Amino acid sequence: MNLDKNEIREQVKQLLSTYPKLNIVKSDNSTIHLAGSIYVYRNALNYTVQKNYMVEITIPISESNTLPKIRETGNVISDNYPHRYQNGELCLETETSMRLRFIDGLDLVAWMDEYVEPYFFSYEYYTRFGKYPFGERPHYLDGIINTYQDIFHTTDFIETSKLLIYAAESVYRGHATCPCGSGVKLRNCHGKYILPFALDKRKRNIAISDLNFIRKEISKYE
Amino acid sequence: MISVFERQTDILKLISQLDISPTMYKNAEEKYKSLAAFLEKNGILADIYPQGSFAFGTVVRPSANDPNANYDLDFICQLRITRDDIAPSKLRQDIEDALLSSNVYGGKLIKCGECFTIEYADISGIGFSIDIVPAVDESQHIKNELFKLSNNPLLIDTSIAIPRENGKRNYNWITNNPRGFKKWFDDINKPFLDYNRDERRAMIFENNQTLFNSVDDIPSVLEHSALQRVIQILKYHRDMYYKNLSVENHDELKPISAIINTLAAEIAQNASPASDVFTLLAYVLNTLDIYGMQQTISFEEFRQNHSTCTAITRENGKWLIQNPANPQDNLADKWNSNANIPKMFFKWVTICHKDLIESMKLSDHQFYTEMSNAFGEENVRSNWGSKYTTSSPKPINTSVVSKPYRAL
Repeated sequence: MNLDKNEIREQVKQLLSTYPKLNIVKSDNSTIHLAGSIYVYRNALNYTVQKNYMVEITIPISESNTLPKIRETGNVISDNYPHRYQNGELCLETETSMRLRFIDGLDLVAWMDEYVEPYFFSYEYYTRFGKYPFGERPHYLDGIINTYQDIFHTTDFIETSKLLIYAAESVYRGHATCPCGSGVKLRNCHGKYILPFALDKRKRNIAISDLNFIRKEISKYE
Repeated sequence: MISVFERQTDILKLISQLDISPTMYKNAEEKYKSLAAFLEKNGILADIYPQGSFAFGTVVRPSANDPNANYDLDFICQLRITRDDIAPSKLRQDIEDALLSSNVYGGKLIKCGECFTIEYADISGIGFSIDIVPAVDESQHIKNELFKLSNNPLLIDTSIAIPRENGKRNYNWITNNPRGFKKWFDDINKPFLDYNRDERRAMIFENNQTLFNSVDDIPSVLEHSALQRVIQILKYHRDMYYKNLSVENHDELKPISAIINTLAAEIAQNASPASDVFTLLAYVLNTLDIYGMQQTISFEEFRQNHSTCTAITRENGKWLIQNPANPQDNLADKWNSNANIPKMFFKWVTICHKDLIESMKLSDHQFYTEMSNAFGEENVRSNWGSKYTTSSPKPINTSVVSKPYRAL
């Protein structure tokens, strides 16, 4: 989460006051473990979820890139729901998407608000209507590419890859031609979506590491 | 906690608002009677009678999401001749010519596969249209065939033949039997309607004293038995649920009203006529849930364990819900070409049970939330106000929302 320990402890305090039925069950130098129930009362698309969920949350406090993790422990989420890892952790979103948001200042309460609660909402909505209210990410590489498609506002795989390579490896020049192939200057085309990667080294590092991962995985098939 | 009885009464209040109002009923009646008079003047002797929900007393204002939705009522226009006397395209043409020649009907006529739609001006703000299906009496030899095939042969005599378009202005006959269907339904509904009837009629009279001179003037179509209320609740819940499924195909997947009418009535035959609405609803839903077992077990196994359950069958993998008045009409025809239809139907049954029966055990606030999900927040809020809760959920910002990532 790239924050210092005091700041994270302050965020945990806010989290506990927002969710009074969550408690710290363990705390050491590297992580804080929370457990208890959270009350989700959210609405979208003419549907409301109002329910308590038993959860365990692990919050990293070492100054690493690790993200907070959450497991649902009340056996509400069905075993065949595809958005959960085998160890029980909920697949809230791609790491890319969440990391970028944390860099933009997402705190733990907002993480619950934007990722955890909508995750439970998506689950209940899916159970009722058989479809995802806000869509879903495909698994593995496709999910990461899909995340960049959202970031760059693209649909085509090749176009997305070119923009990702540019974001990871090139020096941003607004007057250069946009790598998407439109022939338009970058600043008048996909520039506004690429610029954040040029302005923030941490974001660029995310793009670099995703690109390396994609290249490595694709090379396995070549 | 607000009592179960009061909660159920509140739901019934919500449902009764979707009824056709007595004013609207009188209006519709006048309209189809004057249409019959007009045709007669033009040399076409016809009986015009309601079919579908208007005939069954189970009207639910359509497009439940839109409180300003139109009433769309269905009528049969049956000429006093038989199928042997006229060609289907001639029947269509005669009715069309007559309607087009009129100042009243000509301008607002829309043609469709089996019917003509006449759109009327709004009445006290509510749009109103009627569908007229031209028909003639079915020929005797076809009735004889149907008689042999039918489980309810006494209903067959009212069978009619309807021209259906099978290409550009090319029509062939199809058989149907809306009067038989109504008779079948009315026979089952009668004991439910008789139970507490005077009390119910007195209530309608009290609320509509300007319209009726006495209790005896109230047409039976304005009364609602527990069975009719169950059907209305199911239809309304269906409209709201399927609307949320997906914009493109919800109409394709939605169970047709004739299926709901048939199954509810078929199942209600084994229930006590003194059942209150929600007891009957629970009974219907539980029985439908049993029928759902045919999705996973073989027809033979199902028949062995549930020999009395015959309203929905799946012999040799083929879904069949027979129209009780027309042995050639499989109401579940579409279920056999799109497996999602039965799948969603039985899922919807489970959700109805959860929303309308299990929710009675929840706290007031949660009950309110479930009802908002079932019947629409706006509807529930405008009817019940803050009786059950004063808080409202936090909206999810759908423009920046997260998408769950699929694990391996």
